[in-house]
Formats: sequence, structure tokens, C-alpha cells
Amino acid sequence: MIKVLLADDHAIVRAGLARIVEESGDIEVVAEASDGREAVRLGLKSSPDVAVIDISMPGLDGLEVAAQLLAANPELPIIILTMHEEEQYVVRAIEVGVMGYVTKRSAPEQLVAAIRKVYGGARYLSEAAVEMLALRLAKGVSGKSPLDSLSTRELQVLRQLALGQTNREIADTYNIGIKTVDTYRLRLLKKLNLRNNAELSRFAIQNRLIEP
Amino acid sequence: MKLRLIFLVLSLLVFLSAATGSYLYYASLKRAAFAEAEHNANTRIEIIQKNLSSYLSENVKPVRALAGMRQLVEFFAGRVGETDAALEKPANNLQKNVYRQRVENLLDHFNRALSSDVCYLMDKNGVTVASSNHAAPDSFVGKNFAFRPYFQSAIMGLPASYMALGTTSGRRGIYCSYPVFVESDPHPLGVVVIKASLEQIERKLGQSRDEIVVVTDPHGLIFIANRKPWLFKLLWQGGESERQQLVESRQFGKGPWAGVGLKPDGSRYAVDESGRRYLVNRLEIDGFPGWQVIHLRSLKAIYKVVFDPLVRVTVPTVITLCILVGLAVFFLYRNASVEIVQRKKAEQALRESEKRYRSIYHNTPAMLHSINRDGLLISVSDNWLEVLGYVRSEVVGKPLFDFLTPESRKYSESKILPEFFQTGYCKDISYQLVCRDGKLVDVLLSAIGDRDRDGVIVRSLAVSIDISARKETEAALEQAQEKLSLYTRDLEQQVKKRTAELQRLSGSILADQERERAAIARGLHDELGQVLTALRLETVWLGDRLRPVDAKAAERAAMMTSLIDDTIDEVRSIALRLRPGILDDLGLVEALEWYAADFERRTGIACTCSVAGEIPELDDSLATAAYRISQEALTNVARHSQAEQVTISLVVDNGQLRMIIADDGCGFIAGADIEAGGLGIAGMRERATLIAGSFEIVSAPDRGTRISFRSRIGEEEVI
Repeated sequence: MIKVLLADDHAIVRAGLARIVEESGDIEVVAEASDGREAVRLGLKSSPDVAVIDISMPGLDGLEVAAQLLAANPELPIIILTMHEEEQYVVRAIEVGVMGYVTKRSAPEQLVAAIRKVYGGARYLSEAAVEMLALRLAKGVSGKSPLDSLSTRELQVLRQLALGQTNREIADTYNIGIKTVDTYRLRLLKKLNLRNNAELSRFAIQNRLIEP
Repeated sequence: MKLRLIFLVLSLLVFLSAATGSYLYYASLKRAAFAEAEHNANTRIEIIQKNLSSYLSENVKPVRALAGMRQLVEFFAGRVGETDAALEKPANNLQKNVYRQRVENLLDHFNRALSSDVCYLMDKNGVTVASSNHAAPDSFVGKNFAFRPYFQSAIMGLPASYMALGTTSGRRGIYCSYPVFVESDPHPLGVVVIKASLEQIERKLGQSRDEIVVVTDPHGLIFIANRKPWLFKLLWQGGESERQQLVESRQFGKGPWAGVGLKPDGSRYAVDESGRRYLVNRLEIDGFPGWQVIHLRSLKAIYKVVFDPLVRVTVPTVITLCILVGLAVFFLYRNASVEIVQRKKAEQALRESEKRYRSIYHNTPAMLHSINRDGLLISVSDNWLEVLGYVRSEVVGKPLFDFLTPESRKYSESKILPEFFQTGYCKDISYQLVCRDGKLVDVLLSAIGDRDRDGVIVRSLAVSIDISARKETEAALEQAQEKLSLYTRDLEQQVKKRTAELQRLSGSILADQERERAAIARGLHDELGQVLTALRLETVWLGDRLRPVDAKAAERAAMMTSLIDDTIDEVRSIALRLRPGILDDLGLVEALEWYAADFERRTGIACTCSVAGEIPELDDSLATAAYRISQEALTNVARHSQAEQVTISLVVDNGQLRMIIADDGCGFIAGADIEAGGLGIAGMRERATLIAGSFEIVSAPDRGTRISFRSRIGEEEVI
């Protein structure tokens, strides 16, 4: 049985989550906290296998809780479970050191899988979050990067093109028009002074936007 | 007129100098020609003399050879040994004829070989015994020529050459004689003579009209000449004695030996009857004592030698020069004439313009006057008279001071006039003029000085503006202004106070608004969101449970889930619009990054967000102001700019946060429709002002727009 600490200030939500987790059969909620301080206390006391923590909580917020728990036990796999869907939160959470990030909206479908995955030692992140991290990482590598002149969407399109996606696939992924994708592609070629998709791919690899 | 005279004199001078030059050239040429002519004459006469000498001595040697021939000796020897009786013998006669025949053959042979005139043999008495022309009708065999000097000389044993006129043939010739000796007899038995014609020599002398060559005998008789009519005449007007001597000599026929009419003129010149002058050269002929070669050269011909090249070279030059000078004088004269006409026209125009300006001066509806250096009025305009009530005759010639009040007069005398006559300029001098009826008129006087050629100001041109009415108005205005400024100051203070109040109010309103928005957003997001999330957990659970049992109910549950999802999106969207939780939870940088990505997703305008350096934790009001300003700016970009790209840059340096938002859109004319168009610029500025920051916007058509906001980080916030 995987022992789980569940921290959420909203009782109904907590109950719903607990039920989802426990119905899995191999996961057991060993502690429930309704605010940040309690979460830290219980996290230290009940020594769970996995901690599932909400960000928005009275007292300490979830990221602070995660930081404190990891300070005490760096090995503890922590999953952030939150209403916030903005990738910036994911990035911050990863910086703090958590292993997984699941939005509450997708909890019924993903939470159990996430707990199992982080318990197994792997990260659990959504597709969009992974991409965001890759972009952030690529930009962060060198101080002054040619990527600085690119907007988020341009970076996304560049990465997808480098991964070999067609215009249509990219359009579907980001829910934009095929023409728009082509516009982005042309703008990229102009900005980076490149000639074709092959050079775009090489550029993306050189700048660690994707792994070769 | 003067100019014309100068031109005339100049052209005369030019002609004079040209003429003098030509004359000098001519004179030097003439001198040279004379020297040349004399030299030529000398050379020529020497050549002639030499030719003559050689020709005359041509037969000297042949005659000697002839004299020594055996035939002659035989001929004479036969004669010598015989008596007169023996002579009569036929045999002897026959023998004699054989000898004569031989001699005649010999003479013929010599005559042919030498192509001379005739060869003959004389016995010791001077009788011609044999001749080459013995068969000719004019044969002179048997004739006695003992009177001939050449015979007389030869019979004395001396060979001779002599020129004479043949008595039989009537032809001139040169006679060369040589004595014929027989064996040891010291006395010659006869004389042999070769006569050569003189025609050949004459032919050699040539026929030039300008050059006369003659050969004269010791008496001055012309014996050889290149001019037929002169032959056998005396070259010089000779006397009777010379003629007599000629007759006696029997050498040149019978006369009458008229003169050619030549008179000597000095030692070098001669004049003929027609007055023609000649250059004379004479030379003795060797071997002919008293005979002379005389060379006469016409002075006219020499002059011709001088003139010909002069005419050929100088005349065209002089004519060309004259034409050129004439042309130059003509053009200069014409130009000068044109200029004179123009000057006259200009003078006329000047007079007219002066008249016009005088009329303008008088009729201008302004007070104009002019004074001279003594301060006397020299002219005034009609308006000046009108305002002050005078007529022109009362004013002109009077001092200007007479029309000024004592104060103005003092002011003018001590300061204005001295300064004016130095600088030539004064402006808006306040004077008081006195009218005829004693009324005072306030004027502002401005003047400029009229200078003479030396730069001395000789008179003024002054315009006075009547400001009596204006002065009254000014006084009233001043009072009104003073009152107004009092009001204004009061008003300004009130406005300042109210503005400060308003600003405080505005600040607190904005702060309250922000707070409320944050509260509502959080409530929506956390509370309502959580509830919706919980609800969603339930419907999903329900759906999962119902699916194997009741498919329809499961579908309804899925619909509910979907509905709840939409509601969550809506709630999140409202909350984010009010105030993104990210700004409070993560800070400005993350909020701007998120907003930039969101903006790009919504509008399609590429939006990059770059952060230079480490951004410290920012005060809430600063973060809020920066976020709201960027939000407003990006909204403007999306609405108006037609930009393709916009960048947000955050920089921290020197404890100051600087945010720049720049786009590459169409821009706008700064100051034009900023406030009126409601681009929210007032709002952005207000936000910046409230936290004691600065706000700046730079834009130009087609140059994009650049918004820059800066504020200190930390303690100095106002609110």
C-alpha cells in the first residue's frame, strides 16, 4: 500500500480526492491536512510515501509546504494538486523540487496514475508543463540566447517543427489556424536568419530546445 | 562725349604706333637692301670682268700656236728667198699658190676649230696676204691694216689683243695678233691675227632692264653693252677732243658717237636724261689699259626690292591689324554707347522712383519725418501734419525740438539724438509731441539713419506711432491684470489643494479597486472554483459508476462534467481578468510572462518578455502598477497598432525598476489624439504618478510606439 498525505483546505474536495485515491486499491490516505502548517506537521509526523498538496491554502501556501517537507526529507515525492493551470506554477513547483503536478480538474483521471508514478521514482507532468519546462530550460542555459527574441508561441512552434510535426498537427495542438502556423514559421526563419525547416531543427537541437 | 573722345585718341594712337612701326621696319629694310644691292653689284661686276678677261684672252694661246705653224714659215720663206723677178715665174707662181693654198687651209682649220670670226695673215707691211674668208665677197685679202694697234704692236715683236670695229665687215671683234718669225730672223715677217666676235659676250651680259652693263674704251665710247641703242655712243657727255681722237684712231668707224645722256652724280651715282638714277660701279679690264667695265643699277629696281617684300608681308599685317583695331574700337564704342544709354535710363528711373517715393512718403497714413544733422526738419508726411495740426510751410526748416515737450526735448537732446547719430538706429522711443492747439500726443518713434558716402549720418527717416489711446488702454489693462493675477493666485492655490486631494482620492480609489478585485478574484477562483472542482469530482465518479449500469445516466453525468468544465473556465477567466492570482502568488515577472503568452495566444501578435538581471521581491503597489500599465499598453497594441511584434523588457538597475514596452506598429503623432482618443494613457500615467514613478511614451507614424515606465524599488512609495 502506498501511504499518501492529502493537504487541501476544502473539505468537500479533500473528501472527493480521498475517495478517488482509495478506490484505486493500492493507495491509502494516511493523513489529511486542511492548512499549510498542519500539512507540514503531518508530513513530518506520519511519514507518508507520497504527499499530495494544494497550492492555495491558508497559512503557508502549498509551495512553501513542499519546500519545508523537502528540507526535512529530500526523498519525499510530492505532487502539487491545484486549481491553477498556468504553467508558471508548474515551473515554480519543479524549482521547489516536487515530482508531480496535477490540476484538480484532471484529478479523477490522473491523480492515481500520478501517485503511482512518483512513488516509482519518476516525474509526473502534463504535456504542456513539460514543454514549458523545456522552453524555460533552453532559455535559461546561456545568459544571452538567440531564443530571447522569440515569443512563447514562436518557441512552441519552433520546438514542434523541430520535432517533425506538420503544420496541421501543430495547428491542432495549439488550436490555431494552419496559416497562422506558417506565419510563425516564416517569422522564425526571418528572426533566426535560417533558410528551411532542416536548419530550424538543427538550431533547436543546438539550443537544447529538444534532445537530438 | 568724353568717352567718345578717349576712344578716338586711343584709336589714333594705335594707328600712329602701327604707322611708326611700319616706317621703321621699312627704313631698316631699305638700308639692308641698299647694302645688299651694292654688294651684289660688286660681285656681279667682278664676275663680268673675270668673264670678259677670260674671253678676251681666249685666243692668245691659239694665235701663238698658229704663228709657229710650218705652213706660215714655208709661205714666208718662199717669199723671202726670191727676187721680184723670180716671182713672176710661172713655176714659182705655182709653187707660191701651193703655199698660199696650205696657209689658207690652215687658217680655215683654225677658224673652224676656234669658231672665231676670222683668221688672217698679214705681211710685214700690214697687207693681208691670206684669210679664212678669202672666198667670201667681203674678203679683205689684199687690204692694208697697218693702222691697227695690234698690228703695230705685233710687228714690233709683241703679241697683242685689241678690240675694234672691223672696217670691212663692220663687225666688232677682239683681235689677237702674234708675230711670225722665220728661222733666225729677229724681225717678224708677218703677223697672224684671230678675230673673235663680241656678240657672244654681249649675250652673256643679259637683257635686264634694271641692270646696264657696258664696256668702254679709254675715251668713254661704249663698245660692248647689253643695250643695243647704247652701242658706239659716249657714256658720258664727252667733249669734242675725245671725238677727234676717236676719228684719228680709226678703230671704231666714223662716228658720230653721240652721248647716251648720262651724267655723273657724285662718285657712286649717275642720272640719265629721263631723270632715272643709277648706282654706278666700274672696274678696269686686265690687259686692256683704259678699258672699263661699268655696271649701272637702277635705284628704282633697288627700291622695288625693298618694297616688294614690304608689300607682300607688311601690308596684309597692317591691314589686318587696322581692321582688328577698327573692330575692337567699334565694339568697345558700341558697348560704351549702350552703357551710356542704360545709365541715362537708370537715372531717369531713379528720378521717377524718387518722385514716386516722395509721393508715397507724403501720402502714407503714418507720421513720418526726417531731420538733418542740425536737428532741423527737412520733410514731414501729410499724416504728421494732420495729427499735429500744422501746414508744411510752418514746419519744414524748424528744429524738431520746437514740437516736443520740454521733458522729451531734454531726453532727446541728452541721450537719443547723440546715440542715434552714432548708431543710425533707434526704436520705440517714447516722445510727447505738442500739437498746434497745445494738445499733447504720445508717440513711439523709430528711426533709421541715412548715411552719405563716408558713412556719416546726414539725415533720419523716422516713423512715429500715435499711442495716446493705447497708453490710456494700457493703464486700464495694467489695473485689470493686477486684479486678475490676485484671483489667479488664489485659484491656483485652490486648484493645487484640490488636485492633491483628488490624487489622494484617485490613489485610494485605485488601491481599493485593486483590493476588491483581488478579493473577488480569489473568492471566485478559490471558493467557487473549489466547489466546482469538488462537483466535478463527484460527477466524474458518478459517471464512472453509472457507465456499466445505466449508459444514459452516465452520458448525463459526462454532460454535467463538461458543463462544469465550461463553468470552471468561465470562472477562471473572470478571476484572471480581475486580477491574476499569479501576480500575488509568484510575482510580477511570472505574471508578465503568463500575460505575454496569453496575449499572444489571444491576438496572434508575437509578444516576448525579457528580464535582465535578478528582479527582487517587489512591493505590491509597484507590481500592480507595472502589471496594469503593461496590460493597458498591450491592449492598445492589440487595438490600434497593427503591430506584428511587441516586447516587454524589465530591467533593474541602481535600485530602479524600468519597464519598456515597444511595438513595431503604425505609431501615432505624439500629442495629437492621445488624450482625446482615450488610449488609456492618462490612466497609465496616473498609475505611475501614484507610486512616484515616471511614465513616458514615444511614438511617430510608422515608427512604432515605445512606452517606458520607471520607479524606485523599496521605501519611497507614496501610497
